[in-house]
Amino acid sequence: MKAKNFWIIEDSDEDFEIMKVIFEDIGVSTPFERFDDGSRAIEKLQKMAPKLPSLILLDLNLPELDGKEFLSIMKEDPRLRRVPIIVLTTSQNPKDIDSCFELGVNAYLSKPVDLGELKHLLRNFNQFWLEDNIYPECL
Amino acid sequence: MSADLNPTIDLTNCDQEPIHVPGSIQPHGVLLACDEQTLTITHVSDSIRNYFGLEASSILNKKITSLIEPSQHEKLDKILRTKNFRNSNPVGLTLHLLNQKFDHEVILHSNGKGQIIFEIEFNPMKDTTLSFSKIAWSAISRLKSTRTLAELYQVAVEEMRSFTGFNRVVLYKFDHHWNGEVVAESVDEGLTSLMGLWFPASDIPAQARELYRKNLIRSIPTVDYEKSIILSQSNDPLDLSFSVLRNVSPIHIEYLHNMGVSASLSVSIVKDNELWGLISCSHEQGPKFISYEQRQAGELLGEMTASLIEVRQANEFLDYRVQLKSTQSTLLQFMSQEKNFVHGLLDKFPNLLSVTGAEGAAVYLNGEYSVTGITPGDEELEEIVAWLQTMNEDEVFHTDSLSDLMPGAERFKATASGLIAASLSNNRKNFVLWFRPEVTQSINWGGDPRKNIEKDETGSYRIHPRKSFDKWKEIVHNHSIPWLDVEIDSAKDFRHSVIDIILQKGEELSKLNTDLERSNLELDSFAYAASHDLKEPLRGIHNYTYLIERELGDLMDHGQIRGRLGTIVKLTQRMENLINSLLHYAQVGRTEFSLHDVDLHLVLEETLSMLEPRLQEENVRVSVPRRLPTVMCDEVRISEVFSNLLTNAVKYNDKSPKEIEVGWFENDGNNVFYVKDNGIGIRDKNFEAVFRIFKRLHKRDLFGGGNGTGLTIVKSIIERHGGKIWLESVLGQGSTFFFTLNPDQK
Repeated sequence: MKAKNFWIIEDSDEDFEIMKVIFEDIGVSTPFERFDDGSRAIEKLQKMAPKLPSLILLDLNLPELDGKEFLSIMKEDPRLRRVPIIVLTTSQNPKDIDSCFELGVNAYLSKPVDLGELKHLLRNFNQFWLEDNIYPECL
Repeated sequence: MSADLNPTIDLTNCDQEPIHVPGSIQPHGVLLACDEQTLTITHVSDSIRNYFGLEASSILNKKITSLIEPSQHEKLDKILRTKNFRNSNPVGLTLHLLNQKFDHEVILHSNGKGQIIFEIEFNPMKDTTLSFSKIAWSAISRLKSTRTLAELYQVAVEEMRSFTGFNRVVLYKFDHHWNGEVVAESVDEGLTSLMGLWFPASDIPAQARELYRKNLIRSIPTVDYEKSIILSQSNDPLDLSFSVLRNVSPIHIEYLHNMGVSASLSVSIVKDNELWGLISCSHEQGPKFISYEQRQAGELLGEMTASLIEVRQANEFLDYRVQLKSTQSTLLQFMSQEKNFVHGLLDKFPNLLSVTGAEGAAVYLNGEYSVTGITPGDEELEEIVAWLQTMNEDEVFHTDSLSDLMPGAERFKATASGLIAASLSNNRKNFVLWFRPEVTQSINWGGDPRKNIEKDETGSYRIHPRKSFDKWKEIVHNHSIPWLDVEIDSAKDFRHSVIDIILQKGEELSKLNTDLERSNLELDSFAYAASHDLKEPLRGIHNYTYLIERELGDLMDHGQIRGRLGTIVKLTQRMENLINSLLHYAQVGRTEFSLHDVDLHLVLEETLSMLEPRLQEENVRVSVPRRLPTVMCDEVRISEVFSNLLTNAVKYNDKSPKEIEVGWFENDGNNVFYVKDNGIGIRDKNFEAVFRIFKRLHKRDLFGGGNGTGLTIVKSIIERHGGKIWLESVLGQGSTFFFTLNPDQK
């Protein structure tokens, strides 16, 4: 089945704002929920059963529980590890990229400064992850 | 009855001559020996007849006490019981002989073989008595006021001569082979000096040296005498080691005769229970008797001298010692400043040579030699170190004649007759070596030492006391100038300090490595964090500009505002570009290069094909006159160099067609590569500036708007390959960038 919803974990209001605008512009129909740090999202995920979000879009640089910690908790949990996580961050540090894949990330995207590029990126994201990809029943 | 010497004894067997049991005495006195337990007289010298008119045989087997005034028995008994002879001598005793009484000073001792020996000396000369204390005080105060060894020696002989009145007093010092050197002399005017002469060990045979060591004073009042035989009823030889009258070996008498000596007195100088030397007094003008009391003063003078030698030795070479110390601390400072401490030891002044006053020095460290001054060659050094490794020597070994010890070392005697070797590690793998060349030296012997050996009628060799004491010069080969004690001490100190520094350096280095690693890591994350954190607000500005523009768009036409907003967007793009370049530059400086043999021609072809669309678009002609060689380099980075230089050649070019030539030539064995264009050229004054980070020579938007990091990165890559980059250019006609790659020399 198609993605029924997704979460965005992003602490920057500005970045979230522009993503919202772009999602509007390009016509993203999948509903999403925003968290501005990892710990609240984890709390909620651990409480909510059996329904989980279809997908999580994750920033790395977060207050309190940062992106990689969030990622490792998710991927070590036998139930939560099914949720695909797509990192969307500014960092292009090869170490960050490598450690995210080691932790089991499903995709790694870098936030471009240029708006045109960002639009292009989010359009592809929408097409692939929200429209085309098939998810299991539990998500 | 008599135990006289075999008259045929000579120097070939004089080492075996039992000189402590001569069976006779010098005739200037009387000797009696009695059994320690029974006090029965066992031995009497026949001289008793001359002095007391009594036959020796008449008192043998009598109790010694029967000859002594009964009131003195108690005193005698106490001395014999306590064996406190030294403090009691001479003992005033009244002898009862032939119903006559004789008052005499008697010298008593136990010979350690169960006998008490009584000796009465009769002074053949007029007594010119100076009291013991007078002599002793004068000598002691003068000896104490000396500062150097030479002064000490000189005062000892002068004092000795002043109270004894001998014609000549010399201080005779033994070397390791028991040859003796005259190191001080006090002599009557007109007599030939013996100062500085050497006397061979055979002049004083081993058992004579042993007696000198045990019995510190030896008096021969005259060499012209008829010995007095010791009579006894037993055949046991009487041990006279400590006797004052003991007969002199006929060989020694002959020796003294040959030297022209008529009387002598020797005081032993014993240091650490070893015979160190002798104060030897000799008289050439007839007999010379020194009283027992004065002899005791002489003995004290000898002991005082012995005890002061150590003290004065410490003062010896004080200035030199201080100089060596300061050299050493300078050197250690050099050493700790240098990355490779060996350079600190060898390359500056003072260097390693000054530590011991050597002519050559070598540091052998982890199988490699570094040398300074005059040293043996590499192979010979190898041989010396191999030999040192086989020896279980001390931490610091020294010799002034290596060829005496090491087989084959004669080959390099010209550079290494003298050697000090300090081992720097327990496994004896690392050494500091100091060398001194052979110096042909001469020793002045007091007579040819070899002349002791003479062929007799039967054709066998015999040693006789020499007849000639004329100066005889011997040339000695294979020896260097001997190392002084201070120099050896300096080598030892140096060794300790060097080991400390090596250990300390090792610790510092490992700490430095850890620090460096950590700081590299920190820098790495710093660069990424900085770029990340700088980009985030930048992205915000960029995106919000878009939002404004978007919201504005529906309201009205704001052409001018739209334009301004567009500029903000452009500026944020440029800023992002700069941040990316900075990050890239930081990475080039830090990340490991992977060096391989790389076919540069292929790298160039790949780079060109990547640039192909642009080259076509801009109408560029690229020529490569000959195939580029294969060199050791990091392929990815060098491709970046080509890409940058080629892009610049296209970008800063207003000609049509644009022409680029990529080539190479050899210069001084180095490959020089170049990228030549027919572009706008660069002014001379900017030849350096083009490589500076963020330096731009043109208005931003001209020539495609570079950010000023391209050539900086190129330069950094080339320098990290051990190469150089430079350029030639004529304004308006074009530029050529040259570079070299020498990764080996890095």
